[in-house]
Amino acid sequence: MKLYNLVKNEVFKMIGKKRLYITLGIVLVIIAAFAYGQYHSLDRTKENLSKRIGIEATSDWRKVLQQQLIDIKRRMDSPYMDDDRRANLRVRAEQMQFYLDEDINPLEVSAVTFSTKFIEQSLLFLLPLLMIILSADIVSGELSGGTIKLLLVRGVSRWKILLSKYITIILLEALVMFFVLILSIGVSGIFFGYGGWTTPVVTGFKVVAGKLVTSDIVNVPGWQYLMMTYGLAYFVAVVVGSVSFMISTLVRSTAASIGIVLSTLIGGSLLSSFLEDWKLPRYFFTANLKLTDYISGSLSPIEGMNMTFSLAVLSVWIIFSIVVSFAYFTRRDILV
Amino acid sequence: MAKKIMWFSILIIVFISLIFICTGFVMAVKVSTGPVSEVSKPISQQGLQNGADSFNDPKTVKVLILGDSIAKGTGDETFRGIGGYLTDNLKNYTAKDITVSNLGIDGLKSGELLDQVKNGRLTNEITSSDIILISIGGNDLLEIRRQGGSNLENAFKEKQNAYIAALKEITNKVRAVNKDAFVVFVGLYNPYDGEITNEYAQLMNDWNHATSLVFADDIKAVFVPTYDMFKLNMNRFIASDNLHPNSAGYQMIAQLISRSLEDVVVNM
Repeated sequence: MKLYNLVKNEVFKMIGKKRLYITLGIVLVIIAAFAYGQYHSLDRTKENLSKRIGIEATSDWRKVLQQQLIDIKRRMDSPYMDDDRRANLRVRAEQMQFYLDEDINPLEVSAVTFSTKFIEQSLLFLLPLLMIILSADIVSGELSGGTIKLLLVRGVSRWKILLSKYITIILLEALVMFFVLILSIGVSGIFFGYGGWTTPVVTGFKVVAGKLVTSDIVNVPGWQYLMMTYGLAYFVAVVVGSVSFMISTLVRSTAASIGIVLSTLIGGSLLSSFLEDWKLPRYFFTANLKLTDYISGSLSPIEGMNMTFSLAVLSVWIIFSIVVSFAYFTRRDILV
Repeated sequence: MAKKIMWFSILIIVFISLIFICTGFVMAVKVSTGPVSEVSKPISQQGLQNGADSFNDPKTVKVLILGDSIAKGTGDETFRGIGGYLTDNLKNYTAKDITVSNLGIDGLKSGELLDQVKNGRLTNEITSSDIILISIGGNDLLEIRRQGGSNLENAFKEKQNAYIAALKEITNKVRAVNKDAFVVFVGLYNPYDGEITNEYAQLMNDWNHATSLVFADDIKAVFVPTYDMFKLNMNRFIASDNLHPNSAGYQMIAQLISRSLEDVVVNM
C-alpha cells in the first residue's frame, strides 16, 4: 500500500473523530471570549485616559501623538543618547508617523493585531494543548482499541504505518492553524474591524551576550508580522505534536498518554523559572516554546538563549521524538 | 465523490497554510538571527559639531539646560518647558537671538549628571554657552522616599552628602571649561501637598540651603529658590501627575530665572 493512501486513510480517520471538531470548537469559544475581553478593556482604557488627561483620547489622539513625536525627535538630537536607544526612538518615530499619516489611532485594536496577540498568548499552553488533543492518541488509541492489528495484518511495513500517522499529524496541525487564523480574524473583526494589515509592527530584536540589542530593529507591516507569528507557532505545534506522538507510541492507554504530555508541559514551564541560574532546564522543549518573544522583543534575555538556540533545541527534540518512536514501534511486540 | 472533494479541499487548505506558515517562519528567523549590523557613526558627534557652530557667536545668547525632568519640561501640557518660556522672557531684555539647547533627561540623578559632565561629551556645549541652567536632585530625593526606611534623617543626610559632593564636582567641571557663563541652579520645591511631615520639610529646606551654599562664592552663579512659590500654589502649578510643574509652573520658574538674569542679559 502506498504511503499516500495510508496518509489519506489516517486523515479521514481523524476527520471522522469528534475531537477535531471539539478542538476547533474550543478555539472558537476562546477566541470569542478573548475578543470580547479585549474589546471591553479597550473601552475601559479609553474611559480612564479621557478621565485622566481630561480630553477625549479617542478624538484628540493626534495632538497627543504629534507632541510625542516632537518629543522623541528632540530626544534623538540629544548628544548623550546612546545609539541603541536612538535606533529604538527612530523606529518608534517611524511608527508614530505612520499612525498620523494613515489616521490610525494607536489605541485601537484591529483584527490583525488581535490575531497576532492571540497566537502569542496561546503559544505556551493553549496551542500545545490543542496539539495534544489532536495527536496524543493517534497510536495509543489504536493500541488500546486493538485496531492496530487490522492495520498490521495488511502486510504494510510498520515504519510506513507510523510515518503515515506522523505525516497526518503534521498536516492536520497546519489545518488547525489555518482555521485558528480564519476564526480569530473572522471573530475579532466583528469587534475591531477588519483592518491593520499595513500597520507597522516593530521587530528585528536580537539577543547578544544576554542583552537585548535594538540597533537592528525595523518596522514590518502587520500582515508580515502575522505570518511570522504563525510560522513560529506552527513550529511550536510541530514540536509538541512530535513529543506527544512519541509518548503516544510508548504508552498503551490514551488517558496516560495525554496525562504524561500534559504534566510534562506544565512541569516543564514551572522549571523555566529557574532558567536564569540553572542551565539544564533550557534544554527542555517547554523552556523554548515562546519563540515569538524573540521577534516581539518582549523578553528578559537570558545569557546564551536566543532564537538560534531555541530553534536548535526544539529541532533536536523533534528528531529525538521521531527516532524514539520509530525505533520503539518497529520493535515492540504486538500480538496479532 | 464527496469524499474525494473533501480530500482535495483539505489538501489545498493544508498546502496554502503550509506556504503561509513556512514563509512566515523563514521571515521570522531571518529577522531575529544573524550578526548584529555595525553600529553607524554615532549621531552624537554630529550633534556636538552643530553645537560648536554657534561657539562665541556674538549675535546669540546661548542657553544650555542640563539635568532632570524639570530641566526637560516634563509635565508641561504645551511642551515648552523652562527653556521655551525663558526665551520669551529674555527677548524683552536683549536684541540678540536666543538659542536654547535642552539636554534634560527624565529621571536623571546627580551622579548621572556628573558622569555626563565627566565623560567630556558635553564639553563643547558647555564652553559655547552663555547661560547654563541646571536642575538636579529631585530624583535623588525621590529615591529616599521610595526606599522608605526607618530613619529618614540619616537617609537624607547620607544622600545629601553624596549629592552635594557630586554637585560641587559638576560645577567645578563646568567652571574648568567655561569661566564666564552664568550658572543658574533651580532649587527644589515640594510636590507633596500636605502629606509631608515637619521633619521632611525641615530636611528639604536643609537640602536647598546646602545646595545654595555650593553656589554662594561663585560670583557668576545664582541659586533660584522655587520652594516658596510652590508651597501655597500647589493646585495652580503642579501638573496632573502630582510631581512635575505644569505649564503655569514652568512659566513661573522661567519668570523667576529671567528676573534674576535681567541685568546680565541686558549687558550681553
